[in-house]
This record gives sequence, C-alpha cells and structure tokens, in this order.
Amino acid sequence: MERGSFGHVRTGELATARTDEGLSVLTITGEHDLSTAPALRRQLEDLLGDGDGIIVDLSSATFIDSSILGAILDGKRRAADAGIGFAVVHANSADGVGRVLDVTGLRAELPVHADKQDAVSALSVNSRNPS
Amino acid sequence: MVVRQALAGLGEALELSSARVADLKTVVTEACNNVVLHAYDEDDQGPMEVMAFPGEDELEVKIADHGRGFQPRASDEATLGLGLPLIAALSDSFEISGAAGHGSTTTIRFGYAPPDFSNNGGGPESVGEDLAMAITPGAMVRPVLARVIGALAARAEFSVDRLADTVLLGDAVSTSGEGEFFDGQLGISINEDDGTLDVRVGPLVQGAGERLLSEMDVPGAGSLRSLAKKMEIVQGTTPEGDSAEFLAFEVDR
Repeated sequence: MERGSFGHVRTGELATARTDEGLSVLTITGEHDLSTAPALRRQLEDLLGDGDGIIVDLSSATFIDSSILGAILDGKRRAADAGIGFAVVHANSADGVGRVLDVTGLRAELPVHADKQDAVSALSVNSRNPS
Repeated sequence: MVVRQALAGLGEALELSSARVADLKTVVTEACNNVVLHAYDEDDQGPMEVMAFPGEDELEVKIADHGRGFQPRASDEATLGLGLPLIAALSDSFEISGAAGHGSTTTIRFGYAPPDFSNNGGGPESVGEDLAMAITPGAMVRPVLARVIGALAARAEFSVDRLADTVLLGDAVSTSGEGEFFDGQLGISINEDDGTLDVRVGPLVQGAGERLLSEMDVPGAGSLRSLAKKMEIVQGTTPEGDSAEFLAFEVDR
C-alpha cells in the first residue's frame, strides 16, 4: 500500500487485492492528484505485467483530478493493447468523483460500473468470449 | 493539496453545498496543475500565487505564476488535456491572461449556486443526432455547451484529446456577449455525422464572427482556431429573413 497524509484528509492510498475469479483489484482511497498519479501509474504498470484482468475501484476515492483520469485511461489503453480486461468501478455517482466522470464524459467512455460485481461479471464474460 | 484544502475550507465557510465544494476543489486543482505542469521548466521551479475574493454571489479565484506563459494545446500526457474543460464546465467563467515569457494568471469566477443542467436544452441524455438550441448568454452557457459538445464528441468516439479540443472550442464560443446575437440568444446547432461534428453558431450580427475569431487568439501562443479542421464565417439569414452571419466549424476525431 502506498499512502500519504494531510491532517484529517485521507490522501494517496492505493491497495491491490485478488478476486476469486483471478482478477486484480486496485482500490483507490482518499484524495488523489498530480502528487499520487506516478504511484498509480506504477501500480497499474505492475498489474499489467501480471497479465490478469484489472478492476480499478474508485468507490472510496474522495477526490481525483485530470492526472488520475489520465493514468486510468492510459492503463485502459495499455490493457487493450495487451488483450487484458480492464474495468472501472464507482459506486456513488452523486459525489465529486462522479461529477468529474460525468463532466468529462468518461463515465461512458471507460465505461464505469456501478458496483464491483458488475465489473467482475463483465471481465469474466469478456475472458470467456474474447473478441 | 494545500491550496485545494484551503479553498475547500473557504467554501465550507461560505456554506456552499458539499457538491459545490467538490466542484471548487476540482477547479482550483486543475488550475494549479496547469502551473505545475506548464509554467516552469523542471529544473527552474518558481512561485505560484493563489488569491480568493469572496463576493455576494460568487467567489473569484486568481492563480498566477511567473513562468513561460500559457500553452493552449490540449494534448498533454499527464492530464490528457482535460484540465481546462473541467474548469470551464464547473465554473461560471474563467479567463487566462498573460504573455509568453511573462507568466500567466487564471481568473475563475465560481458561483455559489451549482450549475443547473436541467435548463437550456438539458444535459447529454437529451441530445439528439442533430442539436439546435438557444441559450441566454451568461453563466449557464459554458457548462451547458461544454457538456453537450463533450457528450456528442464522446458519442462520436472522439479521442479524449479531440474531445478536449472540441470542448475548448465550444467554451471559446460561449464567451460571446448577448449583443453579438440576434434576439440576444446564443444560437448553436450541432450535427454529428460519421465522426465529424459540424457546429454552426448564430445568427450573429454583422461583424460578430470576426470578433469571435479574434477572441480565440491566445497571446503569444496562436489561436484555438487551429483545433478545428475548418472554421469560417458564412452568410445566411435569420428565421425572419434578415441578413446575418454564422460562425461554422468542423471538428473530426
């Protein structure tokens, strides 16, 4: 886990886990911006190296900026190039993170799943039916 | 991070809603990102000044640097050029002043009330294949136009860079005053066709097209016009048959 701290504000926490389906889950918690984007890119790079499907869970993120969106989109592109499944989860569409996803149009482009199980199902279906 | 928390604290002190405080944090962070990423060379760091002036209905925030000046090109590896569109969509207005080599100042006017996307033609969900709408120039134009154009560009499978370019052009159009339009309404029609957005702005009063084009110039760094495949002023008529001009431009993916 990589993390930082700023008083009572949770910043820069990244954690990885595995699902029973063999997918990697990268959970982003707290506030993330230019200062934590390099750590996020490193984590995604490591997960891409593992070669398993990747789920980026933004449900516990309280702030993301365009540098974080850039890192996630870059991860998605690299995953697509490598034939690796990639999904994003964000449970609360009404919060600040949801607003950024809406305003940039990325909720549809990524796309963003409303819960982790949806993302797991989507990646599992894709791995069974590769295009 | 420090600036973001300071402004968030100010927003809470002003009793803004939590959603509006979140918008303020995004807007200020993106403006600061521009300074961090573009104002100075990596081995030549310099100062960033942030000032906030609470008013009766809005907060004015100025973010200034003493670096090399604003670079308007939207493509950016770190942020994919999404920063300025985010500022445009979430603030009531913003402007960037300065000249190459003399630093830049971003001035953001941030209304205490959140943008209401339910008026003026609705949000992306209500956008059809062809869209025509009229908006009263003012605070609502930027967020509405940015969202509508952004949604259309995304649906046309624009790359994120081109989407950001398109939103920037829409934002440039939205700076026009009501005096530039017949009936004081910002008229805009957008046609999506096979990966190309044809945007037509008007009817404009005579001479307004040239003024719109000149407003797209960024001191020391070219013009936003270069983001469009084609941009021209065409002659036409109002629904009442009066002679008018239109600004027409094409953006492709």
